[in-house]
Amino acid sequence: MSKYNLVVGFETHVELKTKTKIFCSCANEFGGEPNTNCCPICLGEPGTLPQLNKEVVKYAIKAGLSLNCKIPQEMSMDRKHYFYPDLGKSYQTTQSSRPICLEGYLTLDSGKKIRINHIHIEEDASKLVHDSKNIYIDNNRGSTPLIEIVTEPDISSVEEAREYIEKLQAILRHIDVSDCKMQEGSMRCDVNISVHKEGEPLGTRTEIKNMNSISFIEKAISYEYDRHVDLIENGQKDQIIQETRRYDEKTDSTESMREKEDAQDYRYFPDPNFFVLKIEPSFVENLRKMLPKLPSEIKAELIEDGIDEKAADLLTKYKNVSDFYLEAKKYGDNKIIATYILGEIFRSMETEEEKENFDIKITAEDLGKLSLLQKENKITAHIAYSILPKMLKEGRPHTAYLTKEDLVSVDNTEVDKLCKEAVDAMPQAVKDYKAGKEKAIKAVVGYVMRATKGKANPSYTEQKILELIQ
Amino acid sequence: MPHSLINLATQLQRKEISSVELTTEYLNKIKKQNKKTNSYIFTNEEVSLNQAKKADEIIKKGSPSVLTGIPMSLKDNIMTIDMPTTAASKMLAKYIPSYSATVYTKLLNNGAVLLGKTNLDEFAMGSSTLNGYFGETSNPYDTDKIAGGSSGGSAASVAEDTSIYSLGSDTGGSIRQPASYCGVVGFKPTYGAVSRNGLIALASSFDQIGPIAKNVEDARIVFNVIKGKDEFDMTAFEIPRTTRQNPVIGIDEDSIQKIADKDTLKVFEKAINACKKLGYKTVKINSKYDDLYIKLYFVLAYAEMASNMGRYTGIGFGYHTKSSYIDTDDFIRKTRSEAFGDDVKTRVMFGNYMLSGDNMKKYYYKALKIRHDLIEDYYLNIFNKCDFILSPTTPTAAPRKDHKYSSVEEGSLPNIFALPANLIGLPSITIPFGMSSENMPIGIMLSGKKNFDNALFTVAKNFEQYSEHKSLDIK
Repeated sequence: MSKYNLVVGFETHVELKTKTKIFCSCANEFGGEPNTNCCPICLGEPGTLPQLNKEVVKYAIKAGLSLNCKIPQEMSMDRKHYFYPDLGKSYQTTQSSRPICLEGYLTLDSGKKIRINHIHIEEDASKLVHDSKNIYIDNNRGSTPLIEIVTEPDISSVEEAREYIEKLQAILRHIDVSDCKMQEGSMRCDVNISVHKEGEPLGTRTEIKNMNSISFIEKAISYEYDRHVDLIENGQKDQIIQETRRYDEKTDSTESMREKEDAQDYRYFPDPNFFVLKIEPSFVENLRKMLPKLPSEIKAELIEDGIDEKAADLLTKYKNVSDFYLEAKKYGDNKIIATYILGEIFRSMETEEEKENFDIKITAEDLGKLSLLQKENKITAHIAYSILPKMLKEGRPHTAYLTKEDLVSVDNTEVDKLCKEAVDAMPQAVKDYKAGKEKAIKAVVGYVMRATKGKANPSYTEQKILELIQ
Repeated sequence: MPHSLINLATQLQRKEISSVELTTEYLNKIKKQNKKTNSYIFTNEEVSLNQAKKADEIIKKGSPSVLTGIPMSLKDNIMTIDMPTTAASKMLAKYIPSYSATVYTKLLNNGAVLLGKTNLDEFAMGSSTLNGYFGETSNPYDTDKIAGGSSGGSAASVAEDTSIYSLGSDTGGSIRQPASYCGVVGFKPTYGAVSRNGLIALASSFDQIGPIAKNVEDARIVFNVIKGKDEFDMTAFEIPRTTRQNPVIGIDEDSIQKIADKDTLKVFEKAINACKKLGYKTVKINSKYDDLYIKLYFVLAYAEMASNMGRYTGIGFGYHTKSSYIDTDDFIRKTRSEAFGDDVKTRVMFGNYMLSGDNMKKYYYKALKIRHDLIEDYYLNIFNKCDFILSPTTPTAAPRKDHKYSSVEEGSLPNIFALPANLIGLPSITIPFGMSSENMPIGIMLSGKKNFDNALFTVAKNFEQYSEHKSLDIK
């Protein structure tokens, strides 16, 4: 089966979270009362002209810089024409000939670079709501700013596709240019797929439009891969045509959109309402200086700090988590904080979205201080873990839950005594351990923990017991 | 001597006459005269008189500008929040804008009084003002003749004195050609000198709003009010102050001799004599792109027109079809078929053809490149020898309404002298300079380098002294 290589490229639309729209001063907000954030300009009324929002330029350059793009010194805007009710002017103002960012890349964990062909800025279309009889137009989304990030066809597995999108989301959230919420449409992907045998030219590609979930993207790629391979194997290679397809999640399959769109001639040409726009290198350099650390950089630092790779990955996947972690670290022990977040706190969150939002009642400072108590053996992990759920639920600081008793750590001579007692009391467990059943030691440690009501330090206890029985 | 802006401003400020009186007089004159020429599409006495009252108050308070209380008109493709703006199209026949053009706002801030909206070719596509939805405009000198276009209503209204001045728009001669046919001054500013915000776009990289007035000084005054940077137009900027001592005048004698008729050449001869009297040196110039102007305009301007006309779908605003339709495409198709006139349809089809598939490279981008070369040639070759270019404004005086041109290219000849200024973005002015054997006005045109609008006005004023034009005196 694997004699066919999968070749995937992405075109990802990302909504920028600038305060205002791309060409006018209307609020860049939607979801509210329809047609409340619009003006003659974003409605495309006669006589109106665009004024390019400088923030959009900044956001796009920031995105480009964090994806290792070159920023040319000149860019221009173009018109893309089509007639549809979601487009008041009957053309979309976008960039085709001279986009704002060129030739970047995103690095996967494997070290493989997914090349970015370019990033361009453009306006979004209005939102259409259909019912059985009518089409309703909500212009609040009309002319909100987008960037489109176009990769080379460098992705060669479903796993790489997922990693690319997740990493892209993490980066754009970290630099604070977009929410990248696929379920809400602030990030949408068009996926290009083709297959070919090693050493042979690329196959005909199909494009699946408007994907809004990573798992659908995975399923759609798998489906398309199988479909292409089956057609080739059955001698029907000519039935793979360059076309736009739609993924149907109900049937878990793709179907041709068979819209005129494939034959559509967009008649791109330079928008005469803009001169060629100059981008000063000093402007770009200032933005580069102001860029926050990227997830990959933070992750590398965490690993350097002794956090294992998997934990570092999870901690930097969500911007809010990473911000919280870095803040908490200032007040306590990084490794212990990581276990709090990835353990007790993540357990309280069921969805990805909750993790993205990371809206918790504990402050970073409070969590940091709690970790410090544990680190300094003033409380045990057991106690920390027993109060964390209460803190998460009630939002009071850790000091509100710790009793005097909790804070006094158990005297080690007492623990030493209990360890001896445990070894004597549990000869079978000791025998099992010596016979190679390593887990058996836990039962002996458990004896001491029970006797101290969990206040003994488990690692110290285990160490002591091992000394005694060897 | 027709009512000029300066004279009336003096009378208003001396309180010899009030703006309400003046405005009433003009509104009455429009009622009478519009039956003959149809210069105006729309007037609204209430709006005009309210503005006049405000102007009188400003004058009473003693803080007027030179435009305060002066009645004027606007071409009906300039957005006015208090009067409809139709572009002389069925598509916008009932359209009342939700905002005002920057130029209108600037005029109102100066106490101007809007008498009404003047006629044009549908969406400014034409050079005759014969093809609009609201009928033809006739030349006040001879109603069997055309007023020219597309700003024909504006030019005719100034000529017949139903407005003191007017604003038109010039994409390929649309201010200067009708101004010349109607015997008035028409000025197309440097591209970007005046904000296009609120001008219904025709060809965006060519369009400029400019004044049509009774003399050069009036035009200069109006231009100085409407010009300038605008937060609503990224292509608008502040032109620098310019002067030019001992200007050199370039004349493309060969092409003028070839194209202009006898009457025009006679008047033009007087303009050349005026150079001598003024002590201006003249030089012969020629452009190697002469025969390409019209072609470039067809490809580039029509492409932009086609794109700009896309927004008229009947969905957001304007006319929409009343017949049944199967889907959105059908709705849009029917709306556009029913509401656009033939001239608009032709240009939209032609323009889209130029942008479609391989034609994009074959025609559009090629023309774009030649436009660039042409601009370079003007600066390296022509403006290297001279400061201003002098020519007749049009090859003939206003033709009869029933005059038929034998080809599309011949039909574009009336704009042949005007086109380079739009292709290159130059300031250009027409001055009425003499009369034809049929007693129709003939104008001369002066164009300068980009940004040399002020210097151009100075030179134009000097030429104006030698004009043998005869103004109309319609009571």
